[in-house]
Amino acid sequence: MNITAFFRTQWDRAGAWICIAAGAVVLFAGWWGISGTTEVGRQLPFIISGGLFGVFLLGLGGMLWVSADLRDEWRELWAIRSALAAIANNRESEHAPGPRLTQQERNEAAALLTDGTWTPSDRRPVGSEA
Amino acid sequence: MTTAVSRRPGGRSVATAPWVFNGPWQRREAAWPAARIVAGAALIGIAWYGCSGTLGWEEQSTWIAVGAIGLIVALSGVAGWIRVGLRNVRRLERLLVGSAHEHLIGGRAIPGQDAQIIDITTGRGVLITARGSTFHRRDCLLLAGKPVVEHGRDDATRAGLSACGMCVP
Repeated sequence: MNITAFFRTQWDRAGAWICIAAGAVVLFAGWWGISGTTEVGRQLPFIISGGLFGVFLLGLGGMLWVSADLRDEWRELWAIRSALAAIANNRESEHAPGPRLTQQERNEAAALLTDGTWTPSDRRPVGSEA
Repeated sequence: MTTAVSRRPGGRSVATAPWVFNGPWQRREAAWPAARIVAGAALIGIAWYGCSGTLGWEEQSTWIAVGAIGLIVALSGVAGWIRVGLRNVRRLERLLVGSAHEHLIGGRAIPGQDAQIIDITTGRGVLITARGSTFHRRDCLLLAGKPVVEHGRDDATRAGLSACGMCVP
């Protein structure tokens, strides 16, 4: 995957890392600014620009990361919804192409459906990289 | 409310409007948390501008309080954004599980028949669960371990049941 496609499809995770890195830099810059002077009047603006804004960026980065996971789960659920709608209408799910399962995943699905026993494999799910 | 469907790389259909970013946020739900995040960031910026414009302790302490309020407002927006997303994901999960029960397990049944665990490896008829709305092949995974009733295919069709979409009997 090239870098452009990565940023287009994973913009939220990329944004999360950028915000977290920027937050760390801003916090460090705030500390640097405060430690460079003993005048309280010159130190306090660094509390805001370095401390509060740095914490804000870290919070924003965490939100973007969780949002990315939620969006992934949402897309998977929406694919299940489309397949379920196709089954309910008793037709082929041509408009709801789900992930193509490997043989190992088919075996896991069979075990899951028959007796509920399921040990997730280490592999990433098919299509999760999109 | 209508929901458009678009095609993304990888051939997967995803919902678009009114969902924001193809995720579990509707516009009206996302607006308030997003507004709080923006307002909080703006308050922090205003606080920094005000604080850096003076060396007086009293004025600066006021601006620091403004900045702290801005941070609280922004983080409350972050928490609200995540809360709305989690809530909608759980709602959709519940709807899907309920729909799966309705379409694959529960629903109509041919009256007067008691379901029971039977040997599904013998016999020729199609099988129906206790309150099933669909009939299945004998080896359908959805029947595993469930009490079933055996019927002829014609009886099941006359009773208004439809063929299982997974085993396609």
